[in-house]
Amino acid sequence: MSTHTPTSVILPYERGSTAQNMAADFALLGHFPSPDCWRWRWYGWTNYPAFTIGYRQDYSALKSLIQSIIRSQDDVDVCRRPTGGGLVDHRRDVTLALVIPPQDPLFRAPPLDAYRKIHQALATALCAQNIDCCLQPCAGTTCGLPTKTPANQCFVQAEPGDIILAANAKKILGSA
Amino acid sequence: MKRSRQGLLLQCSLSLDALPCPLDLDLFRATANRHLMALNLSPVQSISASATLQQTPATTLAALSQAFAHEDWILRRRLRV
Repeated sequence: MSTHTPTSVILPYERGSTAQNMAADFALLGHFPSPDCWRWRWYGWTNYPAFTIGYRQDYSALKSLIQSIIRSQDDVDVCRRPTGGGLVDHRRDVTLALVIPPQDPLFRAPPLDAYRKIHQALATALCAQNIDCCLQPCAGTTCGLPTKTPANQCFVQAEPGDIILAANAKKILGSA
Repeated sequence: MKRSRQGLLLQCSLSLDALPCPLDLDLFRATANRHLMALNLSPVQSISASATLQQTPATTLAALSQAFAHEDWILRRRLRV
């Protein structure tokens, strides 16, 4: 008789279009063959410029913002994420998708706890390369509550739990 | 963040332009992997380099890719993925 022990599964690095990457992340959540595993994947982009928008964002309102960011009328590879948050410019980023299985205590914890745990692990890896960073602290009693006016664009404004540079509080990593 | 019966999905983005100095990406991913594994408190942890989403039926991934590329999804009309 065998007993199954949950493991961590790290998938190989892959590049894809925005739609392929969002599909792969979605499959990582809902179609993974070992659903009780922690699993994650680092990935890149084949189509440039690549942007993703948050699940609840209004794309029509973001079109002109994207064009102003790339300063061109050229085609953009854009896709809506299954997660929330703001517009993300993927031209110069490192991207990670991670799934915490439902039997893990972090699954039932407040969302900010999961962000903080994951971000602290990533911040430690950044600090190991002498990038002096930390997590954005909470602002008083609003900690853990959704921001009333979230930024349209990632990296413009740090939310509690985001990774920021210690020197100037500039946001360098965010999650949705 | 997306929560479903299958788990909690987080998508993270690190801006390389915002960093004050160059980053060794391979080293960063390797170090981050170790720290992420440490968060998983199960008694045995392992990395399976051969595990890929190819284990997911190709038709499922292809269908999902098409759904995510669909204009109705970009505009978030009624389209389930």
